[in-house]
Amino acid sequence: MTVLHAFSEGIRKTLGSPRLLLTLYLFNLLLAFPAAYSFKVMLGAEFGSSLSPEQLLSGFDFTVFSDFMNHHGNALRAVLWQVVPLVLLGLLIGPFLTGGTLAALRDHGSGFSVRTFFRDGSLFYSRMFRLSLIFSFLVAVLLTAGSIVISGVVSAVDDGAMSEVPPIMSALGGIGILSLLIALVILASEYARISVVAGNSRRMIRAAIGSFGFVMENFPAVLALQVLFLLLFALATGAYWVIEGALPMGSGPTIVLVFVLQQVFVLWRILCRTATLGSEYLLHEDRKPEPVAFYGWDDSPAAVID
Amino acid sequence: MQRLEALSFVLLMLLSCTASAQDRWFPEPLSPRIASYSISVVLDDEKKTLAGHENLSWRNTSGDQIRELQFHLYLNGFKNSETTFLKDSRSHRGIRMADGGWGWIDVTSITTADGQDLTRNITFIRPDDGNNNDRSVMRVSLSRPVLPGQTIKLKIDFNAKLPRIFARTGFYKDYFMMGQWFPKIGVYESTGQRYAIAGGWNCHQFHESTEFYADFGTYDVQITVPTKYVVGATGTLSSQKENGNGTKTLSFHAEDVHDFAWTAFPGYADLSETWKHVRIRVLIQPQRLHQAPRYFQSVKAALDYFEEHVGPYPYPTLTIVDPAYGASGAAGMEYPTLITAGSLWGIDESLRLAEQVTIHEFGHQYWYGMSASNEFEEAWLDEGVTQYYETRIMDATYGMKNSFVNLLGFQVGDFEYTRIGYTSMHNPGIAPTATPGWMFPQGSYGTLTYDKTAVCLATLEHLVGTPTMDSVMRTFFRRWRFRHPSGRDFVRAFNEVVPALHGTRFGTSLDWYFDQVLYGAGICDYELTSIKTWKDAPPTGVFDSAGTREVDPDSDGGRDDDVYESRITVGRLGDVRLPVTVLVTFEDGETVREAWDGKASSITFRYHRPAAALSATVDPEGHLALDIDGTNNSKTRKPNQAPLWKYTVKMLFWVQNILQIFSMIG
Repeated sequence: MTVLHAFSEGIRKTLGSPRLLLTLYLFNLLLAFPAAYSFKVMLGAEFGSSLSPEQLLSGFDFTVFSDFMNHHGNALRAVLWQVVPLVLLGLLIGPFLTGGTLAALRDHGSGFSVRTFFRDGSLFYSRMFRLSLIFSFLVAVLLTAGSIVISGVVSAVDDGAMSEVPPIMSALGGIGILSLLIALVILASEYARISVVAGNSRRMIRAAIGSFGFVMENFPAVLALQVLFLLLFALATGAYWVIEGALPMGSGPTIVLVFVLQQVFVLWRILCRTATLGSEYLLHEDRKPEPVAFYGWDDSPAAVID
Repeated sequence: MQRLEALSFVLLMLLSCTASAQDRWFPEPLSPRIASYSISVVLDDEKKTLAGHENLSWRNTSGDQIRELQFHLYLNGFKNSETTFLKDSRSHRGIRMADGGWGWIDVTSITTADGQDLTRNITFIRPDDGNNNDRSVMRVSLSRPVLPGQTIKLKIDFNAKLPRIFARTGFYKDYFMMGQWFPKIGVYESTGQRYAIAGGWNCHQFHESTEFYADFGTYDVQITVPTKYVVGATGTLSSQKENGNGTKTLSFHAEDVHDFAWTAFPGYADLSETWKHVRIRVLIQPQRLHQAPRYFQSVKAALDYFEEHVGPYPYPTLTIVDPAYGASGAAGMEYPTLITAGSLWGIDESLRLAEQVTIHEFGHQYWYGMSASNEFEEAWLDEGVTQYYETRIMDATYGMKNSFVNLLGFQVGDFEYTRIGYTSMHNPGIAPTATPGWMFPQGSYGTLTYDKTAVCLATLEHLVGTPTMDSVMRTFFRRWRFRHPSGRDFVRAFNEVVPALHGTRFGTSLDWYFDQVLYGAGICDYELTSIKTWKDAPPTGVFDSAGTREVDPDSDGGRDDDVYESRITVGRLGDVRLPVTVLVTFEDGETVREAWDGKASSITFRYHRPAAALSATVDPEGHLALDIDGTNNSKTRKPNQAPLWKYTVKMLFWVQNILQIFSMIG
């Protein structure tokens, strides 16, 4: 299977599962909504009946923003801190959603049902969660080691430097290399999850190790597939920024319009993410190593004994 | 008058330019030229030392007999950890001097022109804090007094070890920035000059939060450095010669200035442009060459602005120095006809740091350079006034709302940024702005002298109008350039010009304003406290009128129109009392503007109108920049929910995206 075929098939499968996309979107919206609602309540309470927020309709106003932060910043910070438990909740729910999504992609053709999604999400939750722990640990080790190495290199380059360019370049280079390594780990994590769901495997460490092997053996294809989806995402992001920048959000109708645009973007992100998983699933199934044949006593070629 | 003056200066400049480089800048002195120096100095770039010989000519312009001379030896501030400067720096900046980073200056010999040796008459004094470890002020007793009008000529030999740069001056590898590097005579203030009730030396120790004060004069400085160095300095280059031993000597000349700074670095890219009579030289780090146009463009904008609004720049030269990476402690500093700016590779115009610092440091050519106030005692008079003009020029040149930052929709104007510096203080009332520099409570010096002063002046500009403000500043500049003004002289200029232009509209003087905002520590905060409105009920009860008695006179429906009673209450939460405007808007679209002197703690405006009051705003045009909280300046009975929804949907969107990112790991 070629990369392009996997790419297009992944998108086709995803588009053929609108209820899956809607389920994932609703999860996202429901998790984000409490923070946004708290934010709205806080703004209303802190601004009260002041006219100063109206200056924000025509665009960002640093004076209004800074006065608000000076005198009401504690209330804002309290709301922003609420995002932290939401993110933690998202991290806990993520394995559930991934398991359910992969199972739905695996069983594409037999029709999506929310009940099956929840069942499969629960079924694979502990395995997906363990894989999350394994790969999060790997990322944390990479980040820690990478940060130490990068800061050491930058510090050595910076010492006595007469120009800021070498330290900046060494920092950017180090961050670039570290990012590639982390991207490699994230790629492997994707294929580990796929192999577990596809093969109903219960061996997470083996799956994790195997996924690194798969990624390295099929690196060009794996990378090409990711690049295609990143390009798709980048195009959408660029389009969003252009359109959103052109809409002033200065009145009720334009605010509603931008809200709709934002939700379309969120849905698009979910679609890209799901299609990525779908394409990776197809690629994995096409290129996964064949299981080693095990010859039992009754299967072995007959020995020729002279 | 202003154009004629500018034309006169331009003609003077043209005349000076037609002469040879060694000739004088100005046919007639612009300043009293009390302290003139002829210095020859040799830089040892390996040992980071200077060996100098200084000929000083000092004139006694007072009516007193001067029996001692006092000198600043600023480099001694870097001598050890117990100097006044470094003790303050350690507590304020957490600075630890690097190995080999100490600096000092030794006067090895001081004699009069007629050969009298005064070296043994040297003592060190500590007029500010009595710190025996501080040797930043040298006193030299004279065996013969300098009589009024007399001039004393001195020959001074000195050696200096340069500190590692962290505060303005010193070295970093082979980068050198020399500020306050030679023995510099203090200012003798005669009776009545500034605040002097008796004649005496005004020669403060070197503190972490103070700068400098000196008399005008001429400078002829010969600098000998290894041949590889590119040198920039105050003044114009008179001559340059190779010495044949791997060194070269450059001679610089400057007139009617009160300081001399120079820099040397082999790696400078040396660029020049001209603005009218001024040769602008930029010494820039090679990796930042692409940012050179920003320096030129911003300083020309400043030259134009100052010439139009304040007065002409008389000098024929201006050098802008871009310090090396690792020597950023030398950035953002002013010296006569030489400023240090600063930038970083990769920072583009979305963050106008290079422009901001260039315009600010150029502004000091006026406030400090020509109007030579005492930076020790009244730092606000140079820093605050300069900061005020920096914000005016930045906003006028690059846009009021985005002159400082303009990045992906996040916009900050330079004045906005300055204002937030003051209004975000934990305690904006911690000290009066007009506090001597070394006496500010910890952490408040910069914010009060720079930011609060600028905000005060901007608020005053809005009160009296920009043309009046310009008129005052032109008057002050014209009267006090090449002299030593005090803060009271500054206020006096306002007291003279504003009543002349506006009568008693702002009172007979503006002392009421400056006493509060400059010499007081009060806070300005006006609040729209409440809007109350109700429909008037028709009169009920028994009424006697013209011999008749009526009961419930309007009960038969005699009143045709609804009438509303509205009460708008405005409060003053701070101590500062300023005249304010209140704009009241009614539901029928009508508006009323009220003027209040702002003195009482509150005021209530009452209306009896066919429409109820809908909203009210104190200071609707936002003229009171000093008001620390603009969010409480208005109220409406019908808040518009649209702004809240706008930012709520943005918040929702960003949280959704953050959750999406983290779900990729899950």
